[in-house]
Amino acid sequence: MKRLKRKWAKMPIVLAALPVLVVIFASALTTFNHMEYTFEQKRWVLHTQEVLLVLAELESAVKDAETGQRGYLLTRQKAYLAPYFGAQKRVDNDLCQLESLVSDNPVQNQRMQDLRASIKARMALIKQTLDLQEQGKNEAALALVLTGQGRSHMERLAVILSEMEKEERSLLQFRTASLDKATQDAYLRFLILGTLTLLGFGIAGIIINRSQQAEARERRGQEIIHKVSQILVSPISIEDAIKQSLKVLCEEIGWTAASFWQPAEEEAVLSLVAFYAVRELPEFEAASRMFKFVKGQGLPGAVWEKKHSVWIENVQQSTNFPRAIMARQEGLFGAFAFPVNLGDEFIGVFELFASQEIKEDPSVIRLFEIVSTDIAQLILRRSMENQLAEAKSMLDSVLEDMGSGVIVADLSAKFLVFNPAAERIFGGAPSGKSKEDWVAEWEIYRDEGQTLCKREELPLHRALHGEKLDDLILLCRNAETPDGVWVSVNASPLRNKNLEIVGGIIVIEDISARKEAEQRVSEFYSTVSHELRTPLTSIRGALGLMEGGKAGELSARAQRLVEMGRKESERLIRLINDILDIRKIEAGKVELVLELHDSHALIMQAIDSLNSFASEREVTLKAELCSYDKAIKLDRDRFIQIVTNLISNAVKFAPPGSAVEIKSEQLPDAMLFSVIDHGEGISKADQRKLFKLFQQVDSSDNRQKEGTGLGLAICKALVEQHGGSIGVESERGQGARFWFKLPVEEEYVKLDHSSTPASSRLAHGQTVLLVEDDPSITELIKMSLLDEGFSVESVKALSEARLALERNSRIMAVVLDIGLPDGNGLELIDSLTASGRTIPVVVITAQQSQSAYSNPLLIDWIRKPLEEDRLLRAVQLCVQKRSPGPARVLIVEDDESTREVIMQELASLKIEILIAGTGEEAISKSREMNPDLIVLDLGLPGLDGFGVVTVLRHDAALKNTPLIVYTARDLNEEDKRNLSLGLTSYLTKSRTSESEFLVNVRNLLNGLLSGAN
Amino acid sequence: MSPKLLVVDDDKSIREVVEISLEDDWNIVTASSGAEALEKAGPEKPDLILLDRMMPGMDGVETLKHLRENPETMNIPVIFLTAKVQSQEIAAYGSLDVLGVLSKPFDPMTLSDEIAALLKKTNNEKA
Repeated sequence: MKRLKRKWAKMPIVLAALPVLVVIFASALTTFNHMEYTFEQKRWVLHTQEVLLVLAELESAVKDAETGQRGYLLTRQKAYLAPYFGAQKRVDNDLCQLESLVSDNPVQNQRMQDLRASIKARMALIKQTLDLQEQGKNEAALALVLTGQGRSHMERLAVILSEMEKEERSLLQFRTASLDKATQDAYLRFLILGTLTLLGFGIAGIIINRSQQAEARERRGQEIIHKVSQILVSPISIEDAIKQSLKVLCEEIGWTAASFWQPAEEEAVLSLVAFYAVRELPEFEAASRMFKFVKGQGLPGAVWEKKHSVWIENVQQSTNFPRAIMARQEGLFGAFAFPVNLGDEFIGVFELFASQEIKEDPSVIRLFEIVSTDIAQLILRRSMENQLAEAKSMLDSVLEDMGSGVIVADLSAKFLVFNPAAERIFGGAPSGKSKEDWVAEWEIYRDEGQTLCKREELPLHRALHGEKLDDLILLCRNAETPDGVWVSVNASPLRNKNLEIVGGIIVIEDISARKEAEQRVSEFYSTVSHELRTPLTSIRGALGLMEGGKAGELSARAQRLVEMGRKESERLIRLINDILDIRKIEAGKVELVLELHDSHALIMQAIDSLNSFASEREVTLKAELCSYDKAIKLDRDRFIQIVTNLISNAVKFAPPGSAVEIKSEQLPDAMLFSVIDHGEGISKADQRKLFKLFQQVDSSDNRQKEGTGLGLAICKALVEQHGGSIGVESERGQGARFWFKLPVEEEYVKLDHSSTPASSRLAHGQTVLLVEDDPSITELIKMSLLDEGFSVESVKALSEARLALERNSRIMAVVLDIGLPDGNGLELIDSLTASGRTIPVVVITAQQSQSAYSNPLLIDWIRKPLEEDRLLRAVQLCVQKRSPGPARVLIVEDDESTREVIMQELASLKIEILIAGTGEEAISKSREMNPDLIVLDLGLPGLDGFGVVTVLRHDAALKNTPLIVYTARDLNEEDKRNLSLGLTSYLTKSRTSESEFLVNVRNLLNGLLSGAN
Repeated sequence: MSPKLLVVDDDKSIREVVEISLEDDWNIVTASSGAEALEKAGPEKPDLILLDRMMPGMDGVETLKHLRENPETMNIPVIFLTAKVQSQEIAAYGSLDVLGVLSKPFDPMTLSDEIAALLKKTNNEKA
C-alpha cells in the first residue's frame, strides 16, 4: 500500500535524532574522561616496572664491574677488564635514568642519594684496586680487596636496592589494583555507550526509512497525477482520455476496477462515462453501465450528495450499494469514490474497487483530493478545447464555403483569415509572395473608378481606426486584371473583450457582374432617351414653327390643334425626363453630392425661379424661414428640385389670389420644411397614393395641371436618399401641407470652426455692417458673424446703411446686398469712396455674374446661395486689412504674348503683377517678393514648372503659396500631386475661359489672405 | 449678308427645323456628322457652329476637339445642342471651349434669340 507524506514530514526524523545524538555525545564524553584516568594508571604501572628494571640493571652493572676487577686481579690480563669498562658506563646511565624516574617520589629520592653514594664508593674502590694492579702492586691490590671494604660496600648497596625495590613493588601492587579497577569501569562504560549508539542508529534508521517511504509515496502520487494529466492533454477524445486515466489509477495503486460518472445533461442523475478493470468483470460493468444514480443513491450518488470522498470497506455488506450482488459474484470488496469538483461546480465522480477488504486509508483519500482537482481542471480544459475546436471547424467551413471574401487582419495588417472566396476575388497570391504583399500590389480606386484611394481611405485602414463601413464600392485593379474587379466592401473593427481594437474584418463581394449589368442598363436608358428625344425635338420644333406662323397663317382651329400637339409633345418630353430621373434614383445611380449648404438660400433661389409661374396663376409665394444653428448636408441641385417640385405643385392647386407658404423649422435632429397651399385639400385615401408612381389626385386635373404624376415620387426618392422623410397633411377643403425632413449634422458653429481655421481672436468686438433686406438671409449671416466673434449691426435699406455709417465710426466692414428696396448697393460703395472712408466691402448678390464694376474697397463678390466659408474669409480679410493693399501675383510664363493675355485678364482685379520668364527667375522673384499667388506655366527654358514647384516646396516661407498651374498640357493625377504647393488649381490653357481663370485667382487669393494671420 | 451658321446634327428633321427656325437671321450650312462638319468648317468659314452633342461615330465633344486643333477653325465659336440637360452634365461642359449649351427640345420661335443672347454675353465678357 502506497502512502503519501507531505514534504514537511521529514521534521520528525530530525526531532527524533536529536535526543539520541545528545545521549551518545554525553556518554562518549564521560567515557573519554574515564579513559584518560585509566591510561594514567596504566602509565604509572609501567613507570614502576621500569624503575624496578633499572634497579636490577644497576645491581647487575655493579656486579659486572666486580667480576671484571676480579678477573684482572687473578689473571692480570687486561682483557678481563671489558665487563668493568662496560659496567662503568652503564652505571652512570642507569643512575641518571633512575634519578629522573624517581624524582617525583621524595622517599625514593633520599634512597637514591644513598644509592648513588654507595655505588660511587664501590666503583671508586674497584678503580683504586685496578690502579694498584696496573702499577704492578699486585699484592697491595689484593690486600685492598681483602680488607672487606668492598663487601661492606656491596652489602650496603644491596640493602638500598632492596629497599628501593620494595618501595617500588608496593607501589606497583597498588597501581596495578587501580589500573584493574579503571579498566573494569572502562569496559562497563564502553558497553553502555555501544548500546546507546546502536539504539540511536537503530532509531535513526527507522525514521529515515519511514520518511523515504513517504517520499516515495508522494512521488508515486505525483507520477499518477502526471500520467493522468498527460493522458488528458493528449489529442484523444475526452472519453478515451478518462478511460486511460482510470487504467492508470487502477494500475498505479493496485486496485481492481475504476469508473467515472458524470451528471447527464438536463437530468438530475449520474451515469457512467467510462469503466476500466484489470480483470474481466462483465456483470459488474454491465450493471454499472445500466444504473443511473440520483443524489444520495449508491456510491456515486452518495459522493455527489456529500461533496467529499466515501470509503466502503466491503461493498458486499454495504446498505447503499445497489451493485452489491454483482460485486459479490465477481469478488469485489473495498471501494472508494471521490468527487471531481472545480470550485463550486460538480463535474463527476471517480470510483475505485479492490479485490479485498480495505480499511479506510487517509493517505489514499488525501492523494485523491489532490488528483481530483487536477483532473477536474484538465477535464474542463479538454471539454472547452473540444468546444472551441468544434466552433473553429464550423467557422472554418463557413468561411470556406461562403461566397463572400472574408479577410481578418491584426493591427499590423497581417492577415489572420483570408478565405477561398477572397482568394478568388484577388486571383490568389503567386507563390513566393505573401498575401499581404500581394493584396498591397492591387490598386484600389474609389467608386467612380478613377481616383486612387489614399492609404487612409482603404477599408482595412479605416476598420483598424474604428470605422464601420457598409457597402463601400471600390474598383480593384492590378497588372493581370486591367479591367479591374468591382467590389462591395463591408468593414468593421475587431475588438477584444475590453473593447480595444485588435484588428479588422473585411467582407468583400465581387460585384463586377452587377456593375456591368448596371452599366448596360444605364447605357440602354441613355440610348432610349436619346432615341425618344430626337424625334420629339423635331415634332416639337415643327409644331412650334407652325404655331409661330413659319408655315403660313393658320386658321384659329389649326392654331389650337398645333398648340395642343406642341404642349403634349412637351409633356411627353417631361415624362421621359421624369421616368429617367426616377429610374436613376431608384437604381441608386443618382449620387448625391452632399455638402453643407445654406438651405434657406436654396429655398429662396427656388422661390425666385417660380415667382413668374406663380404670378401667372395669381398666387403669391410667402417664405417664413426660421433661424437655425445646425447644418444640413444636402445635394444642392436635388434640394432645389425637391423644393421646386413641391412649390410648383402647391401653386397648381392653390386658388387664384391665395398664398403658398414655405416654412422651415429646426427640430432637435432634423430640419422640417413645409409647403402649404389653401386649395381643396386631398382626401385620406388619395394621400396614401400620392407618392406612388403616376399618381395624381384627380385624373381629370391632369391636362389642366400639366403634371406627369411622377414629381412627388421623385421627391420621395430624393428625400429618402438624403436620409430624410416626406409626407402630407390635408383635409378636404382645408388645403394641404406637404412637408419633408432632412437630418441635421453636428452643430453649425463647430463646423465653422473646423472649416475656417482663421483666428477669431482678431474678430473680437469688431463691428460689421450688414445691409440685407431678406430677413432670413440677414439672420443667417448675422449668426455666422456673431459666431466668429464679430459685432453685427444690420440694416435693411441703403438709407439706413448710410445713417449707420455716419453714426457708428467703429464699423470695420460692410456686407452688402446689391438688390435693395431703395436702390443698388453699389451706390453705397461709390459714396464711401467719395467720402474718403476706406471701409472694405463684401458684396453678396443673387446676380449671376459680377458686373464690370470695380472698386478698391470691394474685397469679394459672393453669389447667393452663400458659401458661408467664403463670406467669413472675406469679412476676416476686411478686418485684418482695413485698407487692403494690392495682392501680388507672380506670373511665370516664357511666352510674351501669353503673358500679355494673362495680365489683361487680371487687370480688372487691381493687383500687383510680377513677371518671371524662366524657372530660375520665378524662384528668385518668389523669394524676394513673397507673392500671394503664383501662376505657373510648365514649359519653361531651363528649370521647368515641375522643378520650380519642387524647389518652392522646400522653402518654408513659400511652400504654402497658392498656385495656379496654367498649362496647355493634360495633367494626370501624379503630375497634379507633383505640382501642388499651397492651395493649387490646375487650369488648361485652351479650355479655360477668362471668367473661370479669374474665379480661380480670386478664390486662391482669398484663401491665402484669410489664412495668413 | 447675314452671318453664316453651320448646323451639325445627325437627325435630318432636326436640321430642317433648326434651318427653318434660324433662316431669317442666319445663312445656314448643314452637316449630318462630325466628319462632315470638319470637312465643311474650313472652306465655309462659318461665324458660328451649332453642334449636336450625341451623334453616331464622332460625337460632339470629339468634333469640337478636332475643330480646335485646326488653325482654320480653332477660333470659330461653338454652341452645343444637347438632350442632356441635367445639372451635372452641364457642369461637365464648363471645361469645354463652347459659348454655351442649348437644350433639346428647343422652342423654334425663340432659338434665334437664345443664340443671340449667348453671343452677346460672350462679346460683353470679352469687352
